[in-house]
Amino acid sequence: MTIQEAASALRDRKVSVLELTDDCLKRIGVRNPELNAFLTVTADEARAAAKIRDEELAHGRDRGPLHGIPYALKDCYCTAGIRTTSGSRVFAEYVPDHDAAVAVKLREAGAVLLGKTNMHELAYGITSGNPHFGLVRNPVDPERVPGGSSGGSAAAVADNMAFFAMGSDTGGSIRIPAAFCGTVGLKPTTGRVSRAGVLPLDFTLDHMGPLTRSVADAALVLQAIAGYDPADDSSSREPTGRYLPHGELDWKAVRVGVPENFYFDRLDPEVHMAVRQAVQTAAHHGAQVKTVRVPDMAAVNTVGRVILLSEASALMEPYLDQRGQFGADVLALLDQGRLLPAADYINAQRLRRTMQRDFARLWQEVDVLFTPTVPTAAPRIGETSIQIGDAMEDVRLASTRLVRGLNVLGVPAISLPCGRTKSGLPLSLQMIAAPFEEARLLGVAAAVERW
Amino acid sequence: MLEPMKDWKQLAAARDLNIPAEQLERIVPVMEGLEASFRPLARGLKPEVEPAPVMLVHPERHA
Repeated sequence: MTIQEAASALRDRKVSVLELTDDCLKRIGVRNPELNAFLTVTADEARAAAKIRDEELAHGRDRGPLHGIPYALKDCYCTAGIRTTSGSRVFAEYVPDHDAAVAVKLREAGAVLLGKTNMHELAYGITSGNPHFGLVRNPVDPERVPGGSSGGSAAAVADNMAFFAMGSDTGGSIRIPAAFCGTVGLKPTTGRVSRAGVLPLDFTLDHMGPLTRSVADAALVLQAIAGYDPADDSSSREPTGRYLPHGELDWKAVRVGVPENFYFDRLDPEVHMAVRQAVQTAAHHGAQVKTVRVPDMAAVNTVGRVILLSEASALMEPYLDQRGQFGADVLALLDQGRLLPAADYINAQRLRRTMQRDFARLWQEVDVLFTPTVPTAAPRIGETSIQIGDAMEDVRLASTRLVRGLNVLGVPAISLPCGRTKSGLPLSLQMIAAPFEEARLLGVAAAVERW
Repeated sequence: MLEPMKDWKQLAAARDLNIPAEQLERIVPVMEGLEASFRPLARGLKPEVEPAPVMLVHPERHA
């Protein structure tokens, strides 16, 4: 059931908020022992909130499409009175006295918080194999990773434990788990959604966004959480749009760009075929499909790595005398960041500016780019390298290869399901648009979803 | 012009980073790979290009 379907059932009195909430809690009780998607379940608080939302509806107070919808927050979103770990032993006992700005907006929109989801330690990795709180398993195949770092959020949504879940995306951490688990994952434009009150991984690449079971649901959540927030220095005053797609898309008015370089290199053949098929279908519906040359995305990725390594290490520097508090993979990244000289960081931020300008020229030619989200389906748990074509590639670098650069550039991107492999694993399509063009991006994505 | 790569182990020692030797052995190849990709990019920067993040002054917060 999607948010839209649940919202409709609530207003038709076919179900109550408390029943929806209890169904989710029951599902969590059954499935979480295996999947480990939730670190904290706030069942009592959720039921209490559900009763209030039911009473509001009974008295004619309707907060909108998220009223009474049970959801989860990745455990890096601060929640007043509820432990917020960021998947780290360093913050294992941290209980904030405030809510993240997104959590406040969702409460005002009437959503019901079920709990906090497991994640890759500090949001610094793509497997969600958390050494402190246990690994998250992919609900489609529990022997495979769910992706990360928002792996618990993706697993919870894919397995019907929550109607939606919030994630964070610094180098693909919403889109990768969405792709591996078969959900929708939206990384909005930099500054579109407030980062205030979220334990950061870095200063200039973090983005907050939803994981959902449909594109329309992603639009509904974005509508609730988008907007200027003076508490976040990166927050934009750009007016928000009308994000929920409405009516049939006029494909003839859509210019679809297909990169001729980078994005279709070194892909699993099933991924390649699924995305090419989506492009062909868009053309069949009348879209103007154009082959475009994108700027050097490998270089953008390199710049992104320098920025992330430097900023994450600067953030965690006060804790690095407690080396035993970190998992091996995260500690290795933090040590790499400590070695980078300041001049490299500054030059990376200078290169970022030139790359943003180069990439922006694309939007004169096309409205939306179609690319794969990840080069393969979900890897097996414990795999550190993966076969892609004839070559072996590091799982982390391969999984972030097609997504990381967009955090450097700040453009919005969405990952949506795009078929299955022969073995039944989810395949995905990434769509990218110009800054603050989320409405257009979601409109095209919703049309693709209907095929 | 062939430029020497950074000696990451000496850098770690000089800055007293307290990174264990076995960890350095693991991460030095990664740093060398990153350096090899990054250095040519940085070399092409023109002096007038400023960093992406800028200092923001919000007068309304000081009113």
